[in-house]
Amino acid sequence: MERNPWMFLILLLVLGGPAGVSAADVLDFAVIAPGQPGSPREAQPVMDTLAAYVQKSLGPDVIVKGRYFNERKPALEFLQRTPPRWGIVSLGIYAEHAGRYRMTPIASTRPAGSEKDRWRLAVDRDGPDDWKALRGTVQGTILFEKEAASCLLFGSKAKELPFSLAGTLQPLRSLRSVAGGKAAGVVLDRLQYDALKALPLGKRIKIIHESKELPTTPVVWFGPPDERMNQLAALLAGMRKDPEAEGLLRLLQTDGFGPADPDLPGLKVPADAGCSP
Amino acid sequence: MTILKRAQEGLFGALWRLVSSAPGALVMFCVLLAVVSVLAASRYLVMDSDQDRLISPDLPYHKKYLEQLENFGDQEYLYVVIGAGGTEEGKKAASRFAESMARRLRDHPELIQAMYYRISAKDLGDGALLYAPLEDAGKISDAVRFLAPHARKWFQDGTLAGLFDRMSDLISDGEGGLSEVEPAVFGQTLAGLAGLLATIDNTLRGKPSGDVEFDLAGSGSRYFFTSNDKLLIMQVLPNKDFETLDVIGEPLKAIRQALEATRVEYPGVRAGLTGRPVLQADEMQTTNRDMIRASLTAFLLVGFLFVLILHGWLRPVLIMFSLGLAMAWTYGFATLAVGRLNLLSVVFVLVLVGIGVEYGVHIMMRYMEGAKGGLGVEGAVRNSISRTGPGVLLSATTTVCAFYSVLGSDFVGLAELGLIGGTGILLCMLAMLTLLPALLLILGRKNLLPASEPRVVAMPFLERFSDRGGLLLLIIAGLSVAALPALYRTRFSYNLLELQAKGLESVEYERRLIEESDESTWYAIFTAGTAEEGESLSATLAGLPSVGKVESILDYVPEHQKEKKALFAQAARELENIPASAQASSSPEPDSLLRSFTRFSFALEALEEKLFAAGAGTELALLDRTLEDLRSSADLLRQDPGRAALLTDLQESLRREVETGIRQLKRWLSAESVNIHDLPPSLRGIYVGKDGRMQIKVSPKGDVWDFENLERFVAELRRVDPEISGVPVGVLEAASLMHRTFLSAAGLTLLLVSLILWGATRSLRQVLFTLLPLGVGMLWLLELMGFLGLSFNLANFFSIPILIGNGVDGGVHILVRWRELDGKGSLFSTSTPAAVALSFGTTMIGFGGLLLAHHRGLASLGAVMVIGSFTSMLACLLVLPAALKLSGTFLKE
Repeated sequence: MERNPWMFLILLLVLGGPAGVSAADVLDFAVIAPGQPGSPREAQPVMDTLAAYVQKSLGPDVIVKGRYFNERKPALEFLQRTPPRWGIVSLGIYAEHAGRYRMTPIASTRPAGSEKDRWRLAVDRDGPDDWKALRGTVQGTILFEKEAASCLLFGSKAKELPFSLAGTLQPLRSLRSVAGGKAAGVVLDRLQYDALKALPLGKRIKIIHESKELPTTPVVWFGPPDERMNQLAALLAGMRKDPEAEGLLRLLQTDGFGPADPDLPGLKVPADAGCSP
Repeated sequence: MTILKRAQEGLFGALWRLVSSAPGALVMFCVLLAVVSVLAASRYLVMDSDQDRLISPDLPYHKKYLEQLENFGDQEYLYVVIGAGGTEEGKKAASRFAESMARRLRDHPELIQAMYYRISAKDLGDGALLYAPLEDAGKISDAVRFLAPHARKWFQDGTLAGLFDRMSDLISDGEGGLSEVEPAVFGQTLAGLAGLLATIDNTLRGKPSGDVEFDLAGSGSRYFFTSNDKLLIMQVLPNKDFETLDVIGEPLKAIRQALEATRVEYPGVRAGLTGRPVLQADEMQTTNRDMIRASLTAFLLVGFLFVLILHGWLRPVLIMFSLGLAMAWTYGFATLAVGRLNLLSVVFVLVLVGIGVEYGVHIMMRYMEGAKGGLGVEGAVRNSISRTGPGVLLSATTTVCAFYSVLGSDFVGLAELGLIGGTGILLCMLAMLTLLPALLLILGRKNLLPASEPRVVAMPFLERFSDRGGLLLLIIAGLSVAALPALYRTRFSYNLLELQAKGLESVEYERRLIEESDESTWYAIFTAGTAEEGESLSATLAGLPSVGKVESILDYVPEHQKEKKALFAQAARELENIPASAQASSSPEPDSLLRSFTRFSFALEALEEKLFAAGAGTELALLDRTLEDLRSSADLLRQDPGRAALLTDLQESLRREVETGIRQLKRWLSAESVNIHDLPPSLRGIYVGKDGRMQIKVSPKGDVWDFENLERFVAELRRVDPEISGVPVGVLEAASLMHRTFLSAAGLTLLLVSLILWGATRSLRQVLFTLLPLGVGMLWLLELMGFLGLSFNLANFFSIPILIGNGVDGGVHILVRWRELDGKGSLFSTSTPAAVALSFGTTMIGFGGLLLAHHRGLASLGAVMVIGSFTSMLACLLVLPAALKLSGTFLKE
């Protein structure tokens, strides 16, 4: 029988291709930060740099790709459809979805060197001093996960609050609206609050409520923990001392990664359950 | 009678005849000689403060240093040390401080030769971009490629509105746009943008605001921070005047004024001045102040002592007048024999005050003893010349040995002091043996000398000690032996910084530089003929444990030039299509400007949100102000669209600036490789010598003022090249040479003095007796120094030859008088012990003033001189007479 050389080639591709892929460990990740400025397209080069760093550090048998989401809906759809192995997710996303997506905290970010975050409710300086007297809509980049935010900041369910909560991609504009009397209040994280103090606008705003100290944005592992998770955790912990990671950490706006915050497991707030932070 | 004795009698007989035959003419001649000497000195004697000329130029290491000084020029800098704290904010404040300081110093081009504190693209020439790290070169190339289409587009219309549209595109464009840049990098861009918008707003308000400048060439300045970013170092090279004592007096004053003014401007920044020239100038200033204070104190106290002991003012004045003329002659001798005074020989005056005055005291005391004994004026003067003269001659000769023993030393500064000081002592002796007796004769014959007797002529109360000589010597020997352990605690300290006054800013900042950085104001110099040799040498040196920093011109030759040029070539191709000049634009059109402003404000607001989320407060505040200006400008245009015409000149100036910037960028991107020969002259002037060889500066690690560190540093460098030079080598060698010279001078002095004494007495026993007070006095000095924790150092070591001279003097006078008495009468009933005590007393008072000095080296010199004179005096008055008496008894028995 005459042998068909093309058949051989096709067989090689069919058999060899998947074999080649399955030999590598796919370690894709997602950065999910609802409310953060920019777009996934703008952030993709940073994701590629992080992916390249992880791949280079963990060896040739690892393939890494990263995705960035600053909107809640597409992020959750992505998690549902093609769950990544790990991710950097906002505290709200973690608190509301950690159980559903089997998230295990493996590290914590250090924004501006800080190990803890604190959320604050800012209102117009002539506004009420008690948050319970506040009416209208309160906005914030961290309010896309309303139940988590309400629970972590006010200790109650969102629907029990005397005002409504709404996520925003433009917190500074929201603050100006608050100062102009057009909005009720804005919830700020630690970095936003620090930045506000440098602006003249800061003098027209007052803080009427603040949360207890909260974990910073966590790095999580999706699914059952394995050896690769430990390798990744060790890699992230060592980035601070790696000169090659210096530029990448600046782009990620964190002073390295610390160990997972021990408070994180207690902060899970399932959407259908009561609030007990 | 021996020949020597006859010669001695002949000499002093001739002296008496000279003095007695025409005392007036002798005095006139002495005064005339002094006048001529002073005139000649004021005309021809120069002050040479150049420390490099204190050492023989024939010494190999110094010869090499001088050759390198000639080859590379003077590089002894003053260091303005500015605290930066290691933080970005601190570094910014330090940079602003340095710029302000530099502006002030530029007002004094006649005093300041050069200063180095930063390097900018302008300094690096067309190859400036090649200095960027390879990673940054890639980013620059990407940025240029991203910017090029926007620039090309703007060159097609050249309007202000177009510029804002392009900037809006830049900010809003997703991939590769400004939105990708980290907040920290925004700062510089935002500052430029804020300046432009403030200019536009001012122009629209009708306020003059000048041209817009994008100073690309002056941008990206790199300041000279230490490797830990804690300090910013400004190196300032002053014009030096070696004919002044402080060499950099005027420039230093101007620099300190500038520093003070800058401190007032930036009260939050700590800054100070140091460096070898400053330390030397400060040292000179403190020592001068201390010397003046000590001299005045000594003069008043010695005068008081003279008046007290010699009774009345005329007799002390006669001694001081004779001493003054002898000093004037010494100036004349220095002019004739050397022609200059160096930093060491300038102190000869103090030496003569301390030692020369003693001869006058002995002559005067003997004269008064004779007068009291009824010899009359003629007899008393003759007696003092013929009886005290030999002792004065012998003691002067032995003291001169101490000074002349350094003649021919490689330590030229010390050798010159030896020659001038030694000859000065001989001239003092001559004045006291001729001029002073002549004055006594003239005044005595006219009956003008006071009839009162001195309060202390003899010290009979000491007789009881020598009467029990055996017991006394036993007690003294016991105490001396018991104190021997303290002898081993006496050390020699080479640390020059510890000699300086406490609290001096230059000392404090030298310490700060040592403790807070790996910088040093001292460096050793290697040279290399080729870049390869220089690279290899630098690598070897950098690996040595004691080396802190290696600098050469090779540091300024960029690495990875080939790869960077390839990256830049790609970027340059993107700029090729941009024409040399932008489209000439008409007057700004208000509507299109307003549209552009609105679009730009949206872009900036988006940017603001990004900075807000990142917590970049400083940049956010700047952007907030920029937006305020933009909104204000837009409001002005809306109110009066005609104001847009006011921006015509600004638009034109902006067009020219952008054109210039693009041209500059094209030149940078297409620059050829940079090698040593392409570097700017300001850099080559520092690192490349007249003969084309490059110098490699090697700074030590740690505290180089610590002599052990210094020795280790130089030893390690010498293993690489035995012929290295530079300040550390010079200081090490000079200190060692000084130590060796003083030790050999002390040994030689002892030998010469012993020979002279043997020649004068022909008796080994008498030589040993004469040297006994010196030996005992020095032993006690060393023991006391051990007890008090006082070390020898490079300042107080100078006291050793003087103490040897003084100790021998005392011994000589006591022994001569002992021999003269020949067992008839008591030594302590004569004036000699009192004269010896008075001589040591004046020395103690003279140098005691230094105990109050701020300069710790001078204070320690004062301490050693006071203690040493006191122990020598005790040895002369207690040990020697007791020993002489005991030996007489023993011999008789």
